[in-house]
Amino acid sequence: MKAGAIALESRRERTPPAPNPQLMPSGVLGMLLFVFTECMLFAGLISAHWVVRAGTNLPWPPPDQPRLPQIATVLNSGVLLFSGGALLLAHLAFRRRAAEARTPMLVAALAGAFFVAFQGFEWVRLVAQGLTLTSSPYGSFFYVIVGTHALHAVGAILALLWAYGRLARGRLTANQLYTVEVFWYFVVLVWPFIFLRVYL
Amino acid sequence: MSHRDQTTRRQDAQERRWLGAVVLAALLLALLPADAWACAVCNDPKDKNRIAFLATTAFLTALPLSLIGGLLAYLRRRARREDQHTP
Repeated sequence: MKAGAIALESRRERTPPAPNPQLMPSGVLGMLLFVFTECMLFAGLISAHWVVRAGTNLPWPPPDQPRLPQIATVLNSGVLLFSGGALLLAHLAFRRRAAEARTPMLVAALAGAFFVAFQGFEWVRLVAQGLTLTSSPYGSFFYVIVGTHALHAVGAILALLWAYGRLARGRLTANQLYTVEVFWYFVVLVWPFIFLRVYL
Repeated sequence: MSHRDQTTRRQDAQERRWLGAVVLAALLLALLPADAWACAVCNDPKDKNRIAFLATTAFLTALPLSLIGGLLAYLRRRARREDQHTP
């Protein structure tokens, strides 16, 4: 009896402890850390723009440079925010039934693609009007900051399309969707700050 | 006390002395130029420029702390909730 109790106790001691519950999917955590570094990148760019703009003795924007298309960009920003809303709907639909998320996810990706295409169209017009990367600090900051955001938007759209492809084949996991979502929400939410600092 | 313990203690004391010397040297160096400023360009006579420097310094200091702090606070809250639900 005593020997049996000792054996039981010994077995209990050898039983490994229950693993800690995962507080956050690894993909989401990794994407969050990546997004944090990207936040610092944009914070650095916006800060540099702020300091140069405050330190210049010339009017901002310079008189010989074209004005940025504010109203058109407000409308385009609306498209980007709408895209974020569509992805939120896709998230809610995915939790109900994965297949229901297809349409809102595709809408989110298409709205994002429209945003980037419209930005490209505006760039072509601005370059034609004389605003280039080397025309002035105004132009340099505009193209570097907005271009960096556009690069992130393109990356996030590709990620969305990848997720959509997996969803269409019924192979998208919730963690994969959440990871892509974090990236896209970052692209959507950082844009208003860029708009307020660069365009206004 | 074993020979090994004595050696470790001697090494610890030596490290503490080095650390003290480095801190003291840093303090002395900081005192040398009486008008040393932490940020040599934060004293622009233009108000707008000075505000931009100070605001961006505060922004760039606070942002990483709030990002990492926010994530840690969220994970801590989740962990506590998990603990409460675990029988």
